[in-house]
Amino acid sequence: MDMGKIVRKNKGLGWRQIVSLHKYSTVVEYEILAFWQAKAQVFNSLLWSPILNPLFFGAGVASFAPKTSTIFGTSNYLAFIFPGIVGLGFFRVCSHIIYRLTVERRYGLQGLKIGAGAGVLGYILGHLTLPAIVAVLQSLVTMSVLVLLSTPIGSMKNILLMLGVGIISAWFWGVLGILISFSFKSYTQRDVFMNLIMVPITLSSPAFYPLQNTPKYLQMISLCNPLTYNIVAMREAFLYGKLPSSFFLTIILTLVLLIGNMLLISKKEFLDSKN
Amino acid sequence: MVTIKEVSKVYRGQKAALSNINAQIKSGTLLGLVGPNGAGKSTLINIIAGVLRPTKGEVQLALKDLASLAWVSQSTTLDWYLDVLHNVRLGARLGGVALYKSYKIAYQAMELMQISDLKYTDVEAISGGQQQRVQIARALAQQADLLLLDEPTLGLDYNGSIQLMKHLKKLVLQGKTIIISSHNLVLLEEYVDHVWFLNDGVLEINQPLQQFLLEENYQDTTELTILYQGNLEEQTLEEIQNSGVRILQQSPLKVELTNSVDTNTLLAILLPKIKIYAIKPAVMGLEKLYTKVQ
Repeated sequence: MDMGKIVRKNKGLGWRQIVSLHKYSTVVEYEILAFWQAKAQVFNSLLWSPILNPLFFGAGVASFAPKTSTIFGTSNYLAFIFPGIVGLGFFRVCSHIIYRLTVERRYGLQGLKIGAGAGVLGYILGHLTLPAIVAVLQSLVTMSVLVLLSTPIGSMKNILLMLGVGIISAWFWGVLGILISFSFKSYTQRDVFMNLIMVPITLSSPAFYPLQNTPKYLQMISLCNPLTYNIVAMREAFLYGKLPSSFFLTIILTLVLLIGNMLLISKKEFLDSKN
Repeated sequence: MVTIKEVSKVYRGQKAALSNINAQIKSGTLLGLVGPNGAGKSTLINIIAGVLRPTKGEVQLALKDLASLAWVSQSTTLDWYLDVLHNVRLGARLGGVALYKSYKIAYQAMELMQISDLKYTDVEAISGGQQQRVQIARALAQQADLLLLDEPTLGLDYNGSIQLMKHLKKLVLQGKTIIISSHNLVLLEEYVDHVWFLNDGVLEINQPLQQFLLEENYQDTTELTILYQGNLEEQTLEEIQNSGVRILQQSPLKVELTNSVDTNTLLAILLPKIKIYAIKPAVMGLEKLYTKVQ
């Protein structure tokens, strides 16, 4: 057997393990298993929310406001809110990442996996992959409902561009979520944070209304909300097949947060206290 | 296999958990890590496992890769979203086993730890002892060359503990290296080859078990309990006392040997007169460590 020398020192992990994708497939496999074990969550994520949002809320509002005016022109309300519903789906999956990561850190599973050679990049991307897949599936379900409601869906190119924007948005929230999950010392902290943050971010984003028609205070708050930029980018991609320049900032921020997470995981000890 | 060089660990705001530890373990050793609570056993195991970092010094591991090291934490390290099977199978997957083959290895490990009937049960629905078995099964499924087991017998019943130790001994004979911390000294004494005794963060004893037992048990007084059949006459008891052995109790016979008298002298007096079934030291070898620090 070819023996190497592994050294445990005070400094963090070596750069090779930090940038490695080793065990990525195992991390993804276990995220899929964990997701699948929670059958109610699967049902809710893949079917219930993506069907009910357009079918009840969307169709209800569209019945008295069939057309929506935006700064780019007028569009069908259901077509207008489609990127909004999809965008919220991509945003909500970050909560799954935060829940999983908090459990993994709290119970030493992160240490177990990275200690057994999983690359830090592979570990992070492994946690980001499933939520992105789930959000894409949610989008397809929502789109199917909209087609049944005779909503003009547009070109496949625009849909794919919107989903691409959605995936990057989900990863932005995912890496932000991983970073935030480091500060949680207990499940209570995590749950309080999630409840306090998720609702205002969701409601102050222009998922269901065009921003220019809202009161000034809401516009101010909305412009401070990163989800606004995600949804605007997805809407422009879907309705007009182009991307606003602000979205490139999201891409850069996502990369910066990803690198920050990689360095943080490599520097921190995997057990918080004397175990 | 494992070389520890001047390792110290200080937790923030606390005194040193480990102070300048230097030690080495050869491949194919079953090492017992013993010491009172708070001695630094878990800290040392966690540093070797790479989940904690030493404040000073380093640990060198001669392994082909990181997956060749399996770790069982003292606290429960399980994926609470998953059932027993997938928790155990994680070990095989981390060990580099292909997806389809990982099931077979997981089944074998579960069989060994007697948890096969729980395979589809969520880990949060099983008892603490069973969760411990799942953790050990996962480590075994990893098929690592170096196993670090922090209190693996905690929560295991007597038969489970014996079976685990027997299996670990078998793995050691196949060339694996195992570090096991436990307060079950009687069990360790029966199976380990080498002993590290940590006390207050200091490695006080680092010896092959056999050598340690010989030195510790025959340096000062040794108390023996002798189970026998027959009558011990006054004359025999007097003869024992005259030989320098102190009689503490007559039935069962309990005596205290000193440096000047060995067991052979005592047996030479007793054997012609009574039938001896068993001779048991009152304090087992490793237990003496604890009497030393109290």
